[in-house]
Amino acid sequence: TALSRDPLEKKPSLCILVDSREISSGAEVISSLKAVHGVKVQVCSLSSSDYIVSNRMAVERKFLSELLNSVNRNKVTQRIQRLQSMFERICVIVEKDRIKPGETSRFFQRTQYYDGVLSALVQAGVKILFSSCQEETAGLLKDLALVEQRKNSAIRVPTEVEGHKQEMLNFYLSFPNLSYLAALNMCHYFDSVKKMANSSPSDIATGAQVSLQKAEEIYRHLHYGFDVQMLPENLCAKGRSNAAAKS
Amino acid sequence: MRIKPQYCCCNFYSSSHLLSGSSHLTEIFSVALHHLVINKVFSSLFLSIQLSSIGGIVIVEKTQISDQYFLAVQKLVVLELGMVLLPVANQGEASQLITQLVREQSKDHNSNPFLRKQCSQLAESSVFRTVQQIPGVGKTKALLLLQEFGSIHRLCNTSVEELELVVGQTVAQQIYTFLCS
Repeated sequence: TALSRDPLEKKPSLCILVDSREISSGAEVISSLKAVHGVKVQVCSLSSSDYIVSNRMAVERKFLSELLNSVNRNKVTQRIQRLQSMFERICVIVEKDRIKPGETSRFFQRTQYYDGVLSALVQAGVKILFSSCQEETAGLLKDLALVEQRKNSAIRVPTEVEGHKQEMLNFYLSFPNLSYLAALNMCHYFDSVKKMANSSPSDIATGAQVSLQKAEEIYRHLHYGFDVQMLPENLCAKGRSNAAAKS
Repeated sequence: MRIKPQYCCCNFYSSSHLLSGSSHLTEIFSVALHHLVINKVFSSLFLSIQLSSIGGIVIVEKTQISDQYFLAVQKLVVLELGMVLLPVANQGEASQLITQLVREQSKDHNSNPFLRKQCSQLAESSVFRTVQQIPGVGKTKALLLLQEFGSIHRLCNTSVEELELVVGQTVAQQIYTFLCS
């Protein structure tokens, strides 16, 4: 590998957040990130994306087989749509399916559907990377984190939170379209929820490390005048919603 | 197009001419991967794409022979230059892919599933959900608090005495501590 030749490798340690579901489906990605690339890996419940490599970039890891036919169409599009609303940058890593023991090499029949998915992703501004195995995926994640670090977007805050900070994190995570990292940044930047709520959009942008547009969205959420008449009935009372579900 | 034709497969070359008329212009270059590396046309090729100041799409032939170069090429094209790189196994696949790319470009933006906005949640529901994340506050108390104080911002600037009138002493203190410390 070019590990020793690349001067960028000497930079302060990189940090990547990993969704807890990747422990089972991407064990070698995680171990390779730690052991081969010396990246600090924090496993947390991201739910929206598989990985977060910087303040603004989410990475989805998809098997080639998931993109070859429309069986997973809804799942894939919903995930990407959700990420588009939360992150400035999205990358999809298309990983070749692993050959299971005893199986002869899988024949990859390129489909029109697959080309259509790639075209749509390109058009939507989603970065696409191709990987032949989990180890390679780990290398690509590290490279992405490095590029983001060079652009001053590296994850810099402590990724582990406890007690009151954990409660604050959960509170911020409930904000619409707010990424895990923006919530985490807010946790560390603002001493209290009250301080955050009394901040201007530009302060919020600095604190959460998000665009001004996103900060204004947060600001609107904080100042929104609640009208109980507008609340969907099924949210008002548990009894009612259960009754509605049964009918 | 400033690349010497011998580095491009001819039928790919003509397809990219078709594209140059499209409104959301994206240039498509299609080059055999090993030519890129072996002939060292790398820098001049990408310079020309960058000069054209529009995002380029590079389609490379990724075969068993050229596979060894793929990672290096991908790193340069996608990560360093910020362009799009799409691998194909042969010219047939390339022409199919280019057809799809052209089709996608000519379509209405709104038909792209990855650009479609998810139906946004009602603002009332989001605010209601956030207030329920305050420790000690469930649906009933969240509703009472919001009916009384109107917004998250107001709630954060409410005194513990005012809170007590709505949710009782213990929970009021709990809410106040969470929001203000």
